Amino acid sequence: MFIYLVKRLNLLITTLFLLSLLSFSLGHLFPGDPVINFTGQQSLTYEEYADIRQVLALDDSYFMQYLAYLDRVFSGDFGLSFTSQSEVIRDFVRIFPASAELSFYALVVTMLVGLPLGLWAGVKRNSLIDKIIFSASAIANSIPIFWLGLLFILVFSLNLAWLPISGRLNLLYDIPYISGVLLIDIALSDFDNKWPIYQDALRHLILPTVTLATLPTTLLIGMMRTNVISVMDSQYIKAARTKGISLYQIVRRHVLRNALLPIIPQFGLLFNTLMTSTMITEIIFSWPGIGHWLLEAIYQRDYPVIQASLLLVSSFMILINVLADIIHTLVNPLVRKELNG
Amino acid sequence: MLLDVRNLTVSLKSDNVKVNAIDKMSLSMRDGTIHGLVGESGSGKSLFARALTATLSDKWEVKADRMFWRGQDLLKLSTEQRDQIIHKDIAMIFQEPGHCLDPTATIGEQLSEVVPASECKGSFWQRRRLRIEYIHQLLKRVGIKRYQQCFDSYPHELSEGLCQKVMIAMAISRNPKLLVADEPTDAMESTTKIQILRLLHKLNESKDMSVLLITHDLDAVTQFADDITILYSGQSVESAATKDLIRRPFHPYTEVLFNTVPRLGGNLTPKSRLQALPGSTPPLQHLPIGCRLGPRCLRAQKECVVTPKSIKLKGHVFSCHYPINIE
Repeated sequence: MFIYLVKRLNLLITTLFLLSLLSFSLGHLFPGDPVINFTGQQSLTYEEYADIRQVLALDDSYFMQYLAYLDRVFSGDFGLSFTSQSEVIRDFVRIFPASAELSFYALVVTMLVGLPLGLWAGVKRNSLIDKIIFSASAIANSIPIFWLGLLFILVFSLNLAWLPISGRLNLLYDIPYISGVLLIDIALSDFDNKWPIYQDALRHLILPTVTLATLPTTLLIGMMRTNVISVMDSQYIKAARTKGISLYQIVRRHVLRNALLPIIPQFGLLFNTLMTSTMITEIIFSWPGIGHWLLEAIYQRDYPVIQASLLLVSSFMILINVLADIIHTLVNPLVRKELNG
Repeated sequence: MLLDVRNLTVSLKSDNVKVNAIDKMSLSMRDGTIHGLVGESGSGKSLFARALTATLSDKWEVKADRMFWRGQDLLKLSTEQRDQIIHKDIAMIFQEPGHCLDPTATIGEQLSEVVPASECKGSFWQRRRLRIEYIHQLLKRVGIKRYQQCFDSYPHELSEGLCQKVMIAMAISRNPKLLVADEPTDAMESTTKIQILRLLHKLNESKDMSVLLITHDLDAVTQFADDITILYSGQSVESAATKDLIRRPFHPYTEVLFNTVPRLGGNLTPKSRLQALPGSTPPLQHLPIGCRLGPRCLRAQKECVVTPKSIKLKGHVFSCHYPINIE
């Protein structure tokens, strides 16, 4: 088990190393002066410029420069943003909760919808309900998410006027920034009548969450269905049926667990899709999150931000993937068996 | 009579043709015996077991003149009634027991779900303890000495022999009248094999539980079974008490089958040819008409294109136009 953990951590560290290498080389590859690209400080005197060159070790070899870069990364110094002239890491920490919040709700919706539907379709294989679920998920899977988002806005916001078009909250409410997670911030704020604020926040959440959850849900339905079908075909389910256990009991006790376990490592894959979709969704719904921030940075050629967000977002994804793998090993007795030989 | 099946036909419905995988097979079992069902691979032994326990998929069609289970025709009952009887009285164990246990649940969890509610009457908090005790009893009864360790293990941590013992423990938890053992010792080491067979034998003697032993292991079946039914390509060949069948087979196939077992000593010279029928078992899509042994049978004649009726003679039931050993 310990060796396995070391192996996984090894993978994590290697990938992070390669990523940092890429991120570091971007500083040189981006057009312009590396000093400016790395620090984001645009108006420097000659003296300051020489000092910073010294600090960044730009006169030394690339290796020393890389070490200096790593040193800065570990101390959380990603330079300043060109546009806002505030620290990139601070911007990231401020903006990230909004994205995390949206992704989390979408993930919850994905689980709540995807798992039961996939299970249902798998258990009732080749029946009408299976065909309906499977074809619906195939259709939903093939709809581009930005188009779906725009369609939702057109139907529910413009035509029916049920839900707001964009943003996180009506401008009427000025919620002070505390944790960055809106629903928590509302709870922490000292307004008297919080219910309408919650209502407004939730109304803003519905469209982005649904748009974002669509693609992962279809993926999850597909995974779950395949797993359930293969589990239902296995010997031990057939054996269990001869024991006189009802179908419901079999599904609850045997099928569910055995179908869920292989999904955990695939969860990393799901999460990657979710992250990319989050960025697109944020842009459609003007959600002030990482995707919005990154795209803005690309428009503005804000190189320090691009560099930092590349490193941070991808490290986060890799971390989640490795975590999913480790959790899978911890909960699945079959994988443990392979480890122990 | 515990089980009396007459002219059971199990057919596979495909798009244009209907193939009788089991063709007018008959089998009758007395109470409290071990009945061996012997046949080559693909002769429909397992199919019979699954037809009996009603676990075949919709592709298969089961028909029979009668299928009496303790005087009740299973085929005439409604599905629910039938399932109820089957679940109460008939238990089944399979080959490759390691694959028949849920790999992600411990043995204890899997055993506790088959423990009948009647075995653990008591108040709510007592029930769990009673159930665990009952499971320990079961594991002890099937000869697992380290039952506590077994209880907490996952199936992959146990050997095949232990897994099969656990399967047997599950099967006997409901005190069934009949245990269908579908090649229980397939691909097992010979010591494990004998352990399992002895266990079945012991259970048969002490619990008065009948065993339908489906196998192609002739040694095992002649040693443990009281009666034997022989299948060839889905047709029942001959059925009789084990001793009679070995001493004086009436069907040519029976004789050939028992001759295939090489006897040590005797006149078995090195590199001599082993006894076997020429040819191979016909595949399902090319079944010969009439007696399916026909093309391979040494005694086959013109009449053999008509399916022989089963004849009852001196305790044997056999289906052959030209039986042997009858003077």
